[in-house]
Amino acid sequence: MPPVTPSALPEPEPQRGSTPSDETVIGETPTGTGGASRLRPSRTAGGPSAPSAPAAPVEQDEPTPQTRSSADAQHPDAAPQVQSVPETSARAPRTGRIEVPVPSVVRARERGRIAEQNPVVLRTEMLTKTYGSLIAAGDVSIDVHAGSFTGFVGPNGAGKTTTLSMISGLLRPTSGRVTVSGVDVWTDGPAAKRLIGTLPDRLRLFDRLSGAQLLYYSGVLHGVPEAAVATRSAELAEAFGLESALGRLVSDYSAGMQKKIALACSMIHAPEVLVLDEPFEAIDPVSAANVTEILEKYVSGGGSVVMSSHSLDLIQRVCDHVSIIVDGSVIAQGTVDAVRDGLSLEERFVQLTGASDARKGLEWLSGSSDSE
Amino acid sequence: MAFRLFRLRVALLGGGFRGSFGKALRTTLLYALLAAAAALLAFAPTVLVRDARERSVVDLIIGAAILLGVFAVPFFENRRMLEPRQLVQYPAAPGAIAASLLLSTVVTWPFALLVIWLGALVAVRPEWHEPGWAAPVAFVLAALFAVTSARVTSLISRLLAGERFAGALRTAGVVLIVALLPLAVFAGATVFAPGGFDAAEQVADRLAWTPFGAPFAAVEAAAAGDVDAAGTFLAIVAGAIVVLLVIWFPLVAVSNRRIERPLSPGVARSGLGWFERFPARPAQVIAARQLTYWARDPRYRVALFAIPLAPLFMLLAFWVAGAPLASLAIVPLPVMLLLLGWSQHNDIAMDSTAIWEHVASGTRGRSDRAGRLAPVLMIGLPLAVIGSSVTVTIVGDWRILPAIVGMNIGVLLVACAVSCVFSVLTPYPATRPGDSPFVQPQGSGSGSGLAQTIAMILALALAVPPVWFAVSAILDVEFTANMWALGFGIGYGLVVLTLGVVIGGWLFDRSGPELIAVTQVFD
Repeated sequence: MPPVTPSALPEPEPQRGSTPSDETVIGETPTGTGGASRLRPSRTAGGPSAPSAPAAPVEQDEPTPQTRSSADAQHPDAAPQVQSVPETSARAPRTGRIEVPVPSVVRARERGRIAEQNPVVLRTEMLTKTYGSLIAAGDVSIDVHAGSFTGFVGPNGAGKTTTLSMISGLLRPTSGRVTVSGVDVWTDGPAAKRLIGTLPDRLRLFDRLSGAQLLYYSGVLHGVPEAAVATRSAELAEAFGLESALGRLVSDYSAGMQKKIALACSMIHAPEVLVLDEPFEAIDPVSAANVTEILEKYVSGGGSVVMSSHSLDLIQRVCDHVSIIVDGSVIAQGTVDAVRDGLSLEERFVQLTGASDARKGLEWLSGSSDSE
Repeated sequence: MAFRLFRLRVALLGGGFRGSFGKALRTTLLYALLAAAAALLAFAPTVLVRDARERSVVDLIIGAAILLGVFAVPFFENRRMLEPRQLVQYPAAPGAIAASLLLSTVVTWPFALLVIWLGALVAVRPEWHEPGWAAPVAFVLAALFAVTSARVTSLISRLLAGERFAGALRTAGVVLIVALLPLAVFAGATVFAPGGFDAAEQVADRLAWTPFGAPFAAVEAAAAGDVDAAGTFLAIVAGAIVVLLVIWFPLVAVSNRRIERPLSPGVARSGLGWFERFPARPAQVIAARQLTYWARDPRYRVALFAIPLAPLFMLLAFWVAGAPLASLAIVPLPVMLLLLGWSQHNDIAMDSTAIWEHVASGTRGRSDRAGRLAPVLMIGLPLAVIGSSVTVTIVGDWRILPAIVGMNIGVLLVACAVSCVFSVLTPYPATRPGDSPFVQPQGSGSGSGLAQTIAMILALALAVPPVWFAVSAILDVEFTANMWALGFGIGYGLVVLTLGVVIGGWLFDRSGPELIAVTQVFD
């Protein structure tokens, strides 16, 4: 049994708040306009209006990252506020102190608490998919808040892909509803799909196109204005480290590069919600860190990510919310801290799924005695 | 304004001679050859055609053909012509620009060639010298008509197509010329064949009443002493010139007040292949993607190999059975076009699971359906036009050309329409992307055969009306029936194709997720 890796352990509580930072929060435009600033400013033209801003979450005890950042930017010397979130700083901190890059897990914990108060951007209600008598997904009801990073975990065949496909409009549910910013995915498909970015697992890409062509193609199909497609393609390619590969056919890419170009394609129309099925599969560790960074930046700008993964480590590290799916039903959901309940996510997962107790049999597989 | 433009024109005349000595020499030789050809064109009939009456007919047809060329060619190819928009920044009224542009056209190489030809005509036709005024007046009018028509058609083309579609228009022009070549050769052959002259005379009689043939008819009539008829013909030309002028002046004003919608400054579409040539809208990018696939993916090409073979075998069978070869020549082209359109009845399965991108982006089914037609139509339409002309040449009766064109285009569009619907309705396993095109797809059960058969039967059934009208027009050759077959074939084809796109698109909108599921099963 693999022990809980140290990196997956939650950061000790005191570290938070003790390293004040006046680094600007990564965001698209640090406007200081309260709750609305969390909504992504650069949305695809023509999409329906943004979800209505929350009544006034800012007025409560927790400022949003962006209000804080703008406040800090205006008053660099201002004392750390009630809840100052340390941010990863690749740049030299202005405090002059040596600053250890804060792991994403800390940001995730903090983000989770803030995001809980944001409006719900993606909601599934009693989403069900049955194949004959087999229930692939049963009554899945989840809420995803704006600016949150939600992980979907579950054993193999638990219904993660089924659920995510139903959310992104690729698999027709037997019953139930999916709404994105109030738009029903299954009755007003084209409008809802402008708000969703999708990365399915194990579906092909139009891989006879070159990388640049594929990005352009996805952008135009999603209704991005032509001028924006060019700049966004270039920036996405740079962010994902694909600049040198843009001229090559996607079919010649490695599996990880294909994943990255697909991810770039799913983001080109600046969706409200990213629905990613196994985004980190086949991606090398360095690129994974890079992709994580891009996704965190996207989330801090007000977007939401829903992703499935087998890696509980990863989910615990980068996600702020988590839903555990077993046999087609959600058996636990909420912020990562709430779900894991003091344990590591893996222990909690094993506890919930009951996977630990007694896989009896297979004793004959234990090998001959001289193998030790 | 006019004076400056004349100076510009003179400078442009010399443009070809500047640069290296070799280039100047080449240009000189080229123009010398062209001038010689123009003179020869006027001189050749006097040698080749001895009979005076026949020569007048030949003169009229050649003259009308040249004026028609002057009228039509600038519509497709006008890159080197000055246009009013180039002068819009100068302080001159649109009327002044229009007038001076028109007048200064006299100082261009094409006009010089025209003058050489007309002058040679006057010189080598002593019979036209009889009423001294007739030939000069007629030919001056002909030259004026040439100038105004070239100006107007080129400007119309610029306004309609603009910079962006100029390339497509040039391609269309080349296709038309290729299609017309066999016809022209064939027409020439029939005229010089025994008994073929009557048809030429009929054509000449008709052409005389158009502005293209009227100047030459006027000269003939005046030479024959029929001054009234000559006056009528001249009036036709003059009337046409007036009409063109009435179009020209407002058109210049319009052209100088409008601009094409500029491309956005951020748009830098380079290295995108076909995508550069299509606007950034869903149906168009799907068309570009499909064209890219046809070029890159061998699966599509392999499917095309069988298409020319099938009609060959059919012909062989008919020939063995003893059917007359000339009428059989009508058969292969519609069969090929039917197969070409029908070959796309499983195009969604060819994309395999990649179709999810269309579903996940909320692309309208109509855009998907319409975009996918691009490669077939880009191959099929030129094939239909050029092939029809070849067919008519083999059959040996150019009067049935409209019916043949109508039938072929109708059949192609109907087959495309059926494919549009069936590729959504009954996808069956296709060779997967990346597999060898000769690999048998996995799990092709009874469904594939059934879908293919039904699609083919439906395409055949829907193709009956245009073929029916075309065949009746071919059996009983009559001008109106032929034109009706042409119009009906194209119109009916368009209606059926639109229906196919709409129905196919509606099905696609409804069954997008199911299509993904089906392709996942095959994959």
